[in-house]
Amino acid sequence: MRYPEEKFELLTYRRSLSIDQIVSELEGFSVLENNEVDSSKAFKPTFQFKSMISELNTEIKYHTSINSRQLV
Amino acid sequence: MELSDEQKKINREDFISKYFDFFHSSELAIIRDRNLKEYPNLTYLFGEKSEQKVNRNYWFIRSRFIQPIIHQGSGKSEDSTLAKVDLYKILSCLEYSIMIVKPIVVLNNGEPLIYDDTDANYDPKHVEIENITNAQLAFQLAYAFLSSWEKDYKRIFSNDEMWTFLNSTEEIYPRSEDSMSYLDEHIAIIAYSVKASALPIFTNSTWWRLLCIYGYKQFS
Repeated sequence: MRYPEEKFELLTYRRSLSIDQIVSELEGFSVLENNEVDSSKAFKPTFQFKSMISELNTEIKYHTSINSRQLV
Repeated sequence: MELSDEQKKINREDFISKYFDFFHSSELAIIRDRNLKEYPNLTYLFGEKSEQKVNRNYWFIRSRFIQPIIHQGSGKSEDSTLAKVDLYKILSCLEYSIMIVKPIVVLNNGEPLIYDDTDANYDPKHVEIENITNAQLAFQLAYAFLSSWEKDYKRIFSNDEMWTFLNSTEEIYPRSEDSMSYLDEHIAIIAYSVKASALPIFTNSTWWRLLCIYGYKQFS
């Protein structure tokens, strides 16, 4: 059984950004262009990675403390 | 023989559709059972034609944002580090396409969830369950895609040992008792950064980290 397409369309709009909005915000991908690869550092977290993760850290810790572990 | 772009799109939609069927018949039941005691009124359904929407977004984003970057890379063979990075971009793109659509709909008492956090009946835990469930689908589909890749990828990633690794925690000290596993962490990052335009960067980095750590353990 599937959730009906018409209702699903409406829900997609309400829950998230539309594809048109996404396109205008996808500048994030351009950063991937600068993804420099240095094999000697491949197994160590990069500074860029650390700084990105630290931005999410607080939120992740909060959600971890709720019940995200039980869900996966 | 090189497949046409049209055939690739048909094949990918077929792949996504079959994985959705698998997830619906196995994983969703596990998720429902885990939440049953605390959230007995929640039901989980796939949206009609959601595989088409995911596939359409995937090819659009891939052609517009990923393909130009891949073409700038110099290496295409599987043992090229650059080719590996390209693959992680594709995996992130697949995850991102799923999180735009969020194919799994969670219903509360048969009704859609309330997403307006100013509404008195808004329940953030319900929304969290929906986001985490879709993020789990996103990761597992991307992983299934990776392990279906030819040659080394299929050999390395189609085994239980990889899942054991993904469910382990990072060996850092001091470690709190509720440390997230690599898998939990990746799924949480997908789920909680879903509305951020920087999601591809996060998931690309976490894919890179996941697979580099595994490669290090496997081959060092």
